[in-house]
Formats: sequence, C-alpha cells, structure tokens
Amino acid sequence: MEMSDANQETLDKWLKSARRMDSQALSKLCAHYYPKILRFMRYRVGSNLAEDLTGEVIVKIMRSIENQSGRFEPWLYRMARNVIIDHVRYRSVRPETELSEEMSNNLINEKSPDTAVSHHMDIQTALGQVSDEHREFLSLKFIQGLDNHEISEITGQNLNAIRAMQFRALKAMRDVLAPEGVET
Amino acid sequence: MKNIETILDECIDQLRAGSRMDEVLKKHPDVEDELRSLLGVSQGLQALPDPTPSVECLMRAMSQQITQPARVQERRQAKIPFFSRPALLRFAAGITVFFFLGWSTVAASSDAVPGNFMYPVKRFAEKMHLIFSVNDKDEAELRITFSERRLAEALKTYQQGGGINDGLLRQMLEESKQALNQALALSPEERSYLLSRVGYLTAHQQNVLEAVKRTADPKEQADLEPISELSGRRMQWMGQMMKDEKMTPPSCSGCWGASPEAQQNDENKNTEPPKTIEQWMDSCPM
Repeated sequence: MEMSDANQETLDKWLKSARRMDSQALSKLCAHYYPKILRFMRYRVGSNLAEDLTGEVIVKIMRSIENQSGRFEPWLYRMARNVIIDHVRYRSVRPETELSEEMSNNLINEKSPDTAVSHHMDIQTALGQVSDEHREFLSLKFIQGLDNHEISEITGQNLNAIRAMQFRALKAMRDVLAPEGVET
Repeated sequence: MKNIETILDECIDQLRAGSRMDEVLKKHPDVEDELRSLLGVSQGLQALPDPTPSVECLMRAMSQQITQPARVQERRQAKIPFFSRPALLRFAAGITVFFFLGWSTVAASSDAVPGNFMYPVKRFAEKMHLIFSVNDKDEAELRITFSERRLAEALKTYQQGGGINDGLLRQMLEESKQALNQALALSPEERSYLLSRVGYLTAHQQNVLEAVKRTADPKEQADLEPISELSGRRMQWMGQMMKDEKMTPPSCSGCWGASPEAQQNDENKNTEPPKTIEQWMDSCPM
C-alpha cells in the first residue's frame, strides 16, 4: 500500500519545509518513505525485525533532518544501513541467521502450488543465504531500484567496485538457487 | 574488450530502460548463457512482493519509539535530549495524544479555540487528517472544512470578548487557497465542484466579515479592515476565475466581480487577464 503518491516536486517541497522543522511536512515525508524503508528492511533483516528497525529510521530522520543536505534518498538509505549495523553490533547476531530461519519457516508453513509464489519464496530463501554484503547490494539495486551512482553515494564504493559486486552478488544468488550445475 | 561485470551492468541498464531480454542477450553471444542466468536472478529480485505497510503500522512504530525508546535512542540520549527539538516535541505530543488519550479526546477538542488547552490537540488532529488524506480531492475537502473552522473560531473568540484574531482569519484564507491549489490536480468535473464550494465559502466568509465589521467598535473595525479588504479582493478574484471557468458565481448582494474603481484601475494597467486556472492561482490575492 502506497501511503503517499507524491511527485518529486512535492517531495522537494516537503523536504525543504521539513529541514526547517515544519512538523507537518516532516510527518508527510516520513509517511511517504515509510513503505520504502520497510521494504528495504524486510529483505535485509526479515519481517520480524523490519518494523522495529524502520521505526528507528523514522526517529533518526526526525532528529537529524535539520542538518540534512545533499540528495535525500541516499542519505535515507545510509541511515537505514547504519541502523542495521547498530542492530547487528548490539545483538552480536548475524542478521542473515534470523532471515534464513524466518524464510525457512515461511517455506514450511506457506507452501503454495502457485508457481509465482514458489519462485518468490525461492528467491527470498536464496537472498537469506547469501552474505550480508551481497544481500545489501542486491536489496539496494534490485529491490529498491537504485542506480549505481546512488549506491555509490550510500556505500562509498566506486563504480568499478559496484559493478564487480553486482556480478559476484548475482552469481552467489544463482549458485544458491541452482547449485552444482542444476538448471535454473 | 569489455569484462563480464561491465557487460552485465550494461544489460541490466538496458532491461531497466525497457529492452527485451532476447534483444539484450543477442549482442553478447559469447557469454549469453552466463548473462541469461544472472539477469534471470536480477528480474526475480525485482519481482519480489512489497511488504504491506499500514497507517497503523507506521503509527505504532512511531509511538513505540516515543514511549519505549530503543537501545540506540537510549545511547543517544546522553548526547541529544529526546524532547529537545520543537518539531519532535509537537510530533511526540500528538502521537501520545492519539494513542493514550484516544480519539475521544480529539473529539472533545472540536470546540476548542486558541488559548484553550485542547486547541493544540484539535490542530494536531487536523494535521494528521491531512497527512493521511487519500487523494487531492480529499485534501481539498479537508482544507475547506478547516477554513470554515478558522472562521468559526475567530467568531467565537470575538464573541467571548477576545477581539479580532487576524491570525485565524489569515489562516482561514490560506486554507481556502490551499483547497484551490489541490483542486488544480483534479478532473474538470471535480475541479468545478470544488471551485464552486470554495466560491460559496469565500462569499459566506466575506458576508460574515462585513456583518462583524458593522457591529464592531472602531478599534476592532481597524483590526478587521485589512482582512476584510483582502477577503473582498479574494472574492472578486474568485468571481472572475469562476466566470473564466464558465461557472456561475454564487449571488452575494452584488459583491461578485470587480468594483468600478478596480475595473478602472485594471483598464489603466492594461493587464491581460489570466487565461488558465494555473495563472489564476498565481494571481490569487494573499
């Protein structure tokens, strides 16, 4: 469900007002980006944690929007990324462990004869089994739909490194989905 | 020669731009199989379903952060006091009101006027309504309602001996202007309906302001004069715009349309009247 269907011009207007701590613009901005952050979190840490960590990102936005400069979305994803890093450090738990367990449960409990659903589950399961670094890249590029320049702004990697990471991450996914020469 | 990483990246860009998989692969026969499997994975990732967030989900997340600060916030509290920023304070106060006092509190605030301790609750509830309005028409309708409320509040304040609250009256005009702004994005039928509503609202507000002016003391009349004059110009402007949109302005004691003096001034200025509703909005008296 899209909570807000604002165009770029409206978003820029909200952002400008939110930077001046206009509470209404800030609320609208948070409501607009909430589904995007939730989606990012959902495929990074699993649905059990996604809502909590998305809430943390929202509070961080509210606290630091005053000093925000530059493009908003990369800033937002850097913040979301830091929340995940903080979470991992705090719990000393690798997020992929939680994700894999949750996704395995999904597969056990929600098996469906529908091919598309099964395919989604395969992809989700595979995503839970690749390294955190690969999952982060795959989430940003393919699930969030960002381009290489935006990812570069978020991760600090140069474009060559991003292309190499893209190849390795997709290859890792493919190997999980069809190991040892199994046809995809 | 390009390496596989670069070729893969170019293929992904081409697919995103709308090219078909076969067309993209045809250009790279040497690595076609490798590319096909990797691009297949990328498309599978892009097709993953969205989680389904809800308003309740967002509100719950926010209220949890405010009422049960998580560990990250606790660590940060030492650096930045939680309630140190006005916007955060207002936001937190609002969320708290919604969840701990409930909607009954918001309903109880409906008659509140500035100075009343429930008034911030009323205004916050309005903001929340706006945030979760589902479309432009919904928002325009809300703006009209809020404009009516500002007038009612100004009247109540005046009747209670609080004098002319020009802040409320200016907000009244601002809300109706916002309603017009929202109307621009709507279909012609919906736009006409909303323009008509704002037209009648403006006429009503002007009539009320004139009635108040007749009974007010000289000081209050002086306070009211700039708003009344602004509202009058707004009404003339609305009347012209509605005629331009081929709508019938509401009759209002002959108050629609420019006064003879204003018409004379306009002729002297030799200015072109606005041709589109967007141009009309740019010329809205504020």
